[in-house]
Amino acid sequence: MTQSEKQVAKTEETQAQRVERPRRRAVFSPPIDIIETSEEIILRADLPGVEESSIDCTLEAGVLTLRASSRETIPSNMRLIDSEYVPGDFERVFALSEEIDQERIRASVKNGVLDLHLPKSKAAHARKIQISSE
Amino acid sequence: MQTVLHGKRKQLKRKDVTIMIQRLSALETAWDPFGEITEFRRAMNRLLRPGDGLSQAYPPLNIYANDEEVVVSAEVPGFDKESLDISVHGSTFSLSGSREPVEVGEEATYLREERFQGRFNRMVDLPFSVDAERVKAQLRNGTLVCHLPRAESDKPRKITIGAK
Repeated sequence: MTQSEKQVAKTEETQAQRVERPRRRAVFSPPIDIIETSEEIILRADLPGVEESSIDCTLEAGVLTLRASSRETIPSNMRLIDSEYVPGDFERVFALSEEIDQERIRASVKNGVLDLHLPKSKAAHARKIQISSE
Repeated sequence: MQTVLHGKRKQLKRKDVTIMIQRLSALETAWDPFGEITEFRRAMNRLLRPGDGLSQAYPPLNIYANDEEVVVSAEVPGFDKESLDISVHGSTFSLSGSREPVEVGEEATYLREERFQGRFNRMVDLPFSVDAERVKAQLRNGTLVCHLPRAESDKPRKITIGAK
């Protein structure tokens, strides 16, 4: 990870924490892969322990907000002997520079991974100006 | 302390410090060393959570136990049951798996690549030997839960004293 990327991640986290929650829960920044093609932007997020219904994705004024919450059922009559993760909320906010065709956004969840397909809008395609060399 | 450990981490919050002080003072009154250590460890793990570069081995595990069985749960998003391998030998539990990067074709570019890729192998020493035949594992929403029942041969036995 380069220094500039680290700073980006830092801004994200403070931004996410500005929203307070009534319940006291840990808020995590889920690891994300972003893939760009000429047609669309694909966002893939690791959301372990998250039910499909608890995922909330909004795109408003070029800002994509991803929220989800995970839960874990603690087995009854058992004591915890080692804990490396805790259930909590996931939150990440992205400012998208490309114009997205909101009507054609597709989202799917499989094995705790969210796949978000954000097609670039036709208008954005059309605005691209071809430059020819003389 | 945080800033020395890792530049990205924010300052230790007052709330966390208060919790730690409360825990320490609780130590004086009712001394339960293991419970306190576990709690302290949880608090530390919460501060140094995965994705911060300081994270522990992948994938993170939670281990629960009583006298009858151990439950190991793991956060393994994006792994299907074919790509995970669980094995038990005596009191050693091991979990391995692999997740290959998705082929995206020529014209696609990765803007960010933060998710785990590659192979992992984790070995955990359980508090007792388990019966490998009766191990049950379930994968749901990217979380794996393994139930590992204690081996009959490992259970404590009550010995009757014969009187002559």
